[in-house]
Formats: sequence, structure tokens, C-alpha cells
Amino acid sequence: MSTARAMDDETFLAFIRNSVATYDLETLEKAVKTLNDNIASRRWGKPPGLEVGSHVAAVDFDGIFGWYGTVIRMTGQGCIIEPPSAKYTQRISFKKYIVRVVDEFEWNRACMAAGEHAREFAEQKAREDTELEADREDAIKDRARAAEDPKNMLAINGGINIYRGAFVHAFAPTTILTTMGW
Amino acid sequence: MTPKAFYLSSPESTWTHRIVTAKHEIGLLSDAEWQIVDAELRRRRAEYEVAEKAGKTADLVDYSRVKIPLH
Repeated sequence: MSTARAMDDETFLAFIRNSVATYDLETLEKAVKTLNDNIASRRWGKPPGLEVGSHVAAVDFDGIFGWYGTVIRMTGQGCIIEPPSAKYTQRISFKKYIVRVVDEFEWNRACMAAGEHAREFAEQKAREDTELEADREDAIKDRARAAEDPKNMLAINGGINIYRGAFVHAFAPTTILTTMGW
Repeated sequence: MTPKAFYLSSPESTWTHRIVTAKHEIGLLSDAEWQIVDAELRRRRAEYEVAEKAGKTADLVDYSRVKIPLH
């Protein structure tokens, strides 16, 4: 038991039960949030041995988002991690994530999976770029024939005849974005 | 092309832009005008690739709001 306590556990709970009805709803909601944060921090907070350089797995309390990464900086209520095979960092709060220090075996598997994912992504991107380039060349090659059968569409500045391969300037007044292409 | 939109591809980027006609002012460029635009878009792409290698893409101009002078 902490020596800083103003009352023992039973007295504290009795105090809450007896006085809770007299406080504003907003105050009680803030109190609940503070209690939840404190419980989460004490139950799942900073794991022992966590330091800069540790390899961790962090999963949010809903179990939906998860990250593997190396701790590159400690902050007051969390840490900053760098996922494997990534150029970005991720902020991890001990109040929102269950943080676990992983062993070398699990970390190596995470690195291998991330490397494989990055390689597959790069291959897919290169394949899509090649397909897009071929599609562009095809559109330009056939533009004269496509121009004979244009499609009439209504733009802000009136009707336009669009066809595949047409050189187009598009301007969006609401966002002031200019796009050019074919 | 769809009834209300079409997709634009350009040498500036490796993705396509969906253009909803009802939200855009649209003009068709002549071959001569496109030569100017094409050269500028390729220059921007080259500029981006150089900046990407140097890790300085944040310093680049936001060209989405810069018109290309056609004359």
C-alpha cells in the first residue's frame, strides 16, 4: 500500500458510492477516463526491459491494429518504433497498445515476412507501371481512330467531346487542382 | 471512361487521375500545346525522381496548383 494514500481502499470506494451522485456528468466521465487510463497503464503499460533498440510487438486494445518494430525513442507515455523494411516510424502509446518485447526468433520471422511483403509490393508496382505505360502508348497510337467516335460529356464549362487518347486539361475550381493527361 | 467520368494518365506520375466532368472545367489541347505540356510533365517527373533519391521530396513545389503556360 502506498504511503501517499489519503484513505484505505474500502473508505475510497465508499466515498465514491456516496458522493458520485453529487458531481456533474462531465466530471464523472473525465474521472472514468482517468481511471481507465490508469488501469490500462498499470495492467498493460510499459513492459519491463523496454528500451531503445528493443524489438517489440504492439497490438491495440481492440486487437485490430498490430505493429512490429524496433524502439528508436522513448516518450513519456509510449515509444516510437520503426517497423522492419519501412521508411516511416509509428508512435505507440502504452494507453492504447499492449506492448510486448519479442525474442530474436519472432523478430526474425517478422523481418522476413516484412521483407517478403515489400518485395511483392515492389514487383506488383513495377508490373502495374509497365501495364500503365503500355496502355498510354496504346491510347496514343489509336487516338486518331478514337477521335472519330467521341463521347459527349458535360463539364462545368459546357459540353466536350472526349475520346480515348485525347490530350486533356482538367481544372477543378473547388479545389484549384489542375490535371493534364490523356 | 464512364458516363460521368474518365481517367487521365500522364508522364508525370505512375498512377491515373479520375476526372468527374461535372466538377471540372475541361479543355482539349492541340498537338502543339501537348508537346509543351508533355515536356514539362516529363521534367517534373525527372525532378521528382532526383529529389526522391536525395530524400528531399518535401522540398518540391506542389505542381497540382501550377498552370503550365501554353504559349
